[in-house]
Amino acid sequence: MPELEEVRGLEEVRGLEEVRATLQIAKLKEEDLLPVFHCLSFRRSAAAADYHLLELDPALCAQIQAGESLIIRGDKDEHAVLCSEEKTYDLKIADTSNLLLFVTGCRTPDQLTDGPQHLQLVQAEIWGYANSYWELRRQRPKLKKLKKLLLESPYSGPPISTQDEVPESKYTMQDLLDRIQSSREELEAHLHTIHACEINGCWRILEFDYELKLLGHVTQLVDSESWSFSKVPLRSCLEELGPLEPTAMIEHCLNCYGRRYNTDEGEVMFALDEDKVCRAMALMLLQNAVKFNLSEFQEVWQQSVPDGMATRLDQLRGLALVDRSSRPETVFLLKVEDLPDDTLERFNALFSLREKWTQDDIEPYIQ
Amino acid sequence: MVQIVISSKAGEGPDEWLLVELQGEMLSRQNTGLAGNLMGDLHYTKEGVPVLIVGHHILYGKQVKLEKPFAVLMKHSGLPQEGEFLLGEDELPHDIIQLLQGQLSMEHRHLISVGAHHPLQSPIEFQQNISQDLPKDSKKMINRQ
Repeated sequence: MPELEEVRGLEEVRGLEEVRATLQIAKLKEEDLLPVFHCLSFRRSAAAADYHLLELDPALCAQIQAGESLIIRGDKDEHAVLCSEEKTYDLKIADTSNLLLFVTGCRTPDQLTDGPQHLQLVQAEIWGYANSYWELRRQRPKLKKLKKLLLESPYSGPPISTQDEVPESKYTMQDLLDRIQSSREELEAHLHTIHACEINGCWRILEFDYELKLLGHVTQLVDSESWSFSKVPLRSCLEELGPLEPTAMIEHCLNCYGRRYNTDEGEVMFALDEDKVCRAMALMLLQNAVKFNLSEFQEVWQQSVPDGMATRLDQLRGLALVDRSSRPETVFLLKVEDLPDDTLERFNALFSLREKWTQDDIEPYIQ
Repeated sequence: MVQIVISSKAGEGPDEWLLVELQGEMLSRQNTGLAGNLMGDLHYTKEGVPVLIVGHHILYGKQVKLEKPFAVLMKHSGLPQEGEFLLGEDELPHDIIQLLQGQLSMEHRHLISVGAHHPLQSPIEFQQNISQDLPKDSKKMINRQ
């Protein structure tokens, strides 16, 4: 009989003789087994209540190994979500009829292929156990609340008097992270999408009329200076329009509706985005009507955009929907950011609007 | 809104964790709880098949690599064990103390037929899930007395 080599770590709960006796009763032959026997015992303080298992995907696993933290965010009436720096996950408890034990001090068969020559008896500890685990499912962050919070106090230009200031309804980035179930990156991306602006440390959404006013100033200046849409100089804009509006807001408008770049001489320029400008004009026209006659709309829309820019129906994706089944054909406002965050609720909302959808029509609303 | 930060404190827990999955439940015979008690013996056949002897059961299984790894979280306060995941007011940070990428999945079981004086009289009883089918050669094993 091979000699006993090593008893690991803990006080011996079971001896070799006892283990061998059990093998005999179980009709297992020692020569059929690898020479490492483990005795599993529950740790003195083991309890189901101490530990939770969280199911990860390999990407999250790598992020955790790199030292990133995760945050669970939960509101009283909402399901909890788990956020990494960049993604949001729905968190659910998955009950399993199986028992999951966490064991330490245990070797696995693949670690034993080189085979210790001597028999080892290992006392292994069960640190904890679970019969449920947390399951993660990638999900759209709950960003609808963001616009709602920012609309409590929209910005429409510098306040005329201090009485216009409503400090309670203003939110810093940290305030937003504390209230919205989203990862930081997704939150920042959405702030950018809705053209929000950081003013005096707080994030503000612009009153749409004010945003159009700023855009109007810019496009009229471009027209009167005969600049190319892709070569709008920042400095001249700020000089010419500074007397009318805060320079920070003019620059914000250029950032929202154009792409910033530097010339070879180091001058800051903007290339206005035709699609974004046209969309803003479409929004201006559509927001005050339930529906618009399509051909009338297209005519007025083209006239409303700066000379030299061309409107196209595909610019309306995620903003408005064309109804080709009605006579005459119509178009109405449907903004993707106003739809429910939850996928099922979103589908219900879309299908209660319209019974049948083409793949092309529904696609911008369900990304 | 409640926020719980989960950060990795790998290295605070012990090394070399293994996840063992059993199809059944553990009960304490005398209602003394499981803590401190022996569970059973774990062996591996020369082919690398894990064999777990728990009470009257022999469980066979296999070593698997998890498609979705688990993080083991140690919590500082009680969390609700409900289907809906809602957080209470006083939640405290959790730590990830280990990542588990593989497990032993113990599926098939045989029964050991025992006499009156069974040396593995453990304070813990293992109840297999009823839907478990016995593999074909189990009857052979039991009858071989």
